[in-house]
Amino acid sequence: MDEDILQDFLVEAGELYENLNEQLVELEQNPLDANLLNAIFRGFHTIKGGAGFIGVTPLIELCHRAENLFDKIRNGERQYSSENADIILQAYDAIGVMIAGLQNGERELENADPALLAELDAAVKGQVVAVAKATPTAVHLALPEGVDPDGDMSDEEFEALLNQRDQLSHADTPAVATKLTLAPGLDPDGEITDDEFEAMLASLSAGKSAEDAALEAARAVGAFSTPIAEQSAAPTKPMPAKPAAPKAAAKSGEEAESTVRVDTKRLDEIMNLVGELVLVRNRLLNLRSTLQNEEIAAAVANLDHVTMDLQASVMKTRMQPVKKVFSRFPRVVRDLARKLGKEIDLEMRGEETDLDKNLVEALADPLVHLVRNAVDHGVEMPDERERSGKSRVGKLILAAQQEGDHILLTITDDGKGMDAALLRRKAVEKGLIDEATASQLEDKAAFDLILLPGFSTKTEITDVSGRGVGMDVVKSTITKLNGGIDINSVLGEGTVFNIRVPLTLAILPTLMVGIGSFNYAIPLTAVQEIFDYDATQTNKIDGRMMVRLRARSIPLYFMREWLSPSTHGDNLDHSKVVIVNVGMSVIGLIVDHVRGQEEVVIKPLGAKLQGAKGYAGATITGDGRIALILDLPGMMSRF
Amino acid sequence: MSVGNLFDTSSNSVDDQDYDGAYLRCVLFKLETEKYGINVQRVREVLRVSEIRPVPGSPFDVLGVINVRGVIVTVLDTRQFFKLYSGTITDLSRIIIIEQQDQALGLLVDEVEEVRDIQDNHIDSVGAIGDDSNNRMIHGIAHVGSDGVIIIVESEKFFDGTTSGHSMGAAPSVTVDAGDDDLF
Repeated sequence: MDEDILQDFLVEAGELYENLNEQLVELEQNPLDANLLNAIFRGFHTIKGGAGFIGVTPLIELCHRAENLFDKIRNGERQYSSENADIILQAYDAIGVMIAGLQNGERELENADPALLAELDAAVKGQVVAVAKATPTAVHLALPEGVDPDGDMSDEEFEALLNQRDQLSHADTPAVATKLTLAPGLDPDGEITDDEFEAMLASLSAGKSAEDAALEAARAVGAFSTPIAEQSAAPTKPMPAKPAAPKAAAKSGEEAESTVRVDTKRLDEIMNLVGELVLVRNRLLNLRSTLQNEEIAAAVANLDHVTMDLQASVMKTRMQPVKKVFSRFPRVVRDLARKLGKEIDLEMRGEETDLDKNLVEALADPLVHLVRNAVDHGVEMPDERERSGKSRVGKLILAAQQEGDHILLTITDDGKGMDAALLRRKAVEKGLIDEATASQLEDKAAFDLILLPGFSTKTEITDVSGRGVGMDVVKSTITKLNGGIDINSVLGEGTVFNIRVPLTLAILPTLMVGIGSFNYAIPLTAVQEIFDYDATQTNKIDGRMMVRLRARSIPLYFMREWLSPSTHGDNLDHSKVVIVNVGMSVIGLIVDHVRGQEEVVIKPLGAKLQGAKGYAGATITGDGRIALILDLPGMMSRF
Repeated sequence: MSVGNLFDTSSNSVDDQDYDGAYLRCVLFKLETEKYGINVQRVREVLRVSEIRPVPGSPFDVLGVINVRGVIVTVLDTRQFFKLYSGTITDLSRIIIIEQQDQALGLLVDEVEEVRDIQDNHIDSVGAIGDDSNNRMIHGIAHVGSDGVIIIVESEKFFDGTTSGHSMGAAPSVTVDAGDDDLF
């Protein structure tokens, strides 16, 4: 297997695969959309083609069948029924597993589940799924020993054959057997002619489904009962054929050519160079005012504009629509709702909102968790909803919008809401907080309890949610992205999760402080307030310096002691105290100067320093000097 | 500074006239009184010393970081790798940027002299000199005409973990205890 070709295939297949996900879910809403059907057909077809090129037989087998099924569907010979959708989605998942396997370096893939392949085959033939499950076993039906296929068959022998078939069929799919016995024309005690039996056997050995055989046999017997005919014919009833739309195909072809795949590393390099250009521009802007030359001033002003535009354009290249994360949710919600027996209508808003590529990826897991939670814990069962006077169908809204330099993501459900009293009680039971604290918690603060590690109100552990891991991970992931999460809920009416994340991960708002003769950047999200250091407001408690702030004592840390030991002990007269949040605690950092707020571009520290505890990276300030970006939790863990 | 052809003999090499074997093209630099050579293929560029930003809590052989066209590069106190006391930065001091895979490191040296081709048969392996622990930094010793001795260094070794086996006494310019790699 050629590795280069394989890698190219994986990139292409990965994209097609992602597109298929959206398209399949969309199809469920519009099962007759010819463009969509064509696109899906092409998707499977292209993956199959690539797989054929690199010789991955199991993948070809699956894609081939899926493609066949969609060929029939787009020609109107089959319908995208929910049964077919289930099979297709299973096949889709199996294809995903195979692609992931190849990506992880597996080169010999296991064959696809034969039952799934058989189901696909059956669906292509237009048979009921349940019957199809019995197909592979039906093929192996053997004549009882000693029976001459050309000879007469006794009732007992026929009976035995039927029984054998019944046993071989899936226990939960007795559809054929039931129908067979139901057929009034087929008298099990009556004689069956050689021809009739022959026909049945032939169809069985030809690998056709048991039902086909039964139908043929029944037809041969001449006692073809109408109920069966209708039942069996129903799924094969041709759909009104919609002509394929060649226009749409041509259009998507053109679109494909207008984009170029670029390594994100290269984009990062460009970003970096633009950052340098900005610094040079800043220097020129400073010079302009000292030089007092009009021509230079005009040129520099021009450069200033171009640089700004360039910076914005380059930032945009890293942006992706939030749709990239959202596209998986219809499927997640559909599968989960079906599994839990709930009815949920998912609405997505603001899918076109752009945000940084890295953020899009990082947000996927937390959002999936929140959406699953909303489906599992939030929205009630249809009956329960009816009893409380709501519509049976629950509503889940996933929205994204830009708010200044932030993105606001909201997940709203109209479910049962959260019970603050219950949350308080649970938190106390689990020893997460004490009773006194619990009783003082406002409702809003009580909702935040679910973000604590080890909190889960669901008494039964489901495989959906309820293990008490997750919400705290959601919280820490979002904190890591310099974002925040905010929960609102009204009992009986629903819950809203608001997640705010910065537009990009590359730029970090910081508070620039001076310690000794160097600058350090503290992530602004951690900073609470800043005030002048006043020795009279401090106490030494158990060896630890504390500062009094609004009837609270907050531990103080002398940054010089850590970062500039040579200047430690100099007078602190003009020092400032920066109050920051570190995890759940609040501490005060004593710094020499506060330079102000600055948006910085995060750069990794050089070789041998990467992963150094206490630093999130470094940045280059407007004057070309380097400032280190502090990672407060890392720093505290070393102290 | 571009990477030259290793076998190009046109430059100012001190050759035996009839030598037709391989050469090692080196950037020659000085630390204190000794002359060192580093394979030119490992060298990306040589920079004048700009402000080196110390990183409190870093390994003791790390001087700090510099800004090379927007990329943060770690600068090592090269003297410490060869059991020399840290020196002072002068007008002649340079930072040699060496590369390995995608990583870059800066080596602070007292002076950069020239690029020279050294005959392979002039390079002795270090085995003959002893088995001191920091021999691992040294690829070999070249005896070249009147120049005396050139110490050929192993650039890869600079990228290895920390030099914690190293027992230099004082390291005046560095304020963190030796061996303490972590901050605070």
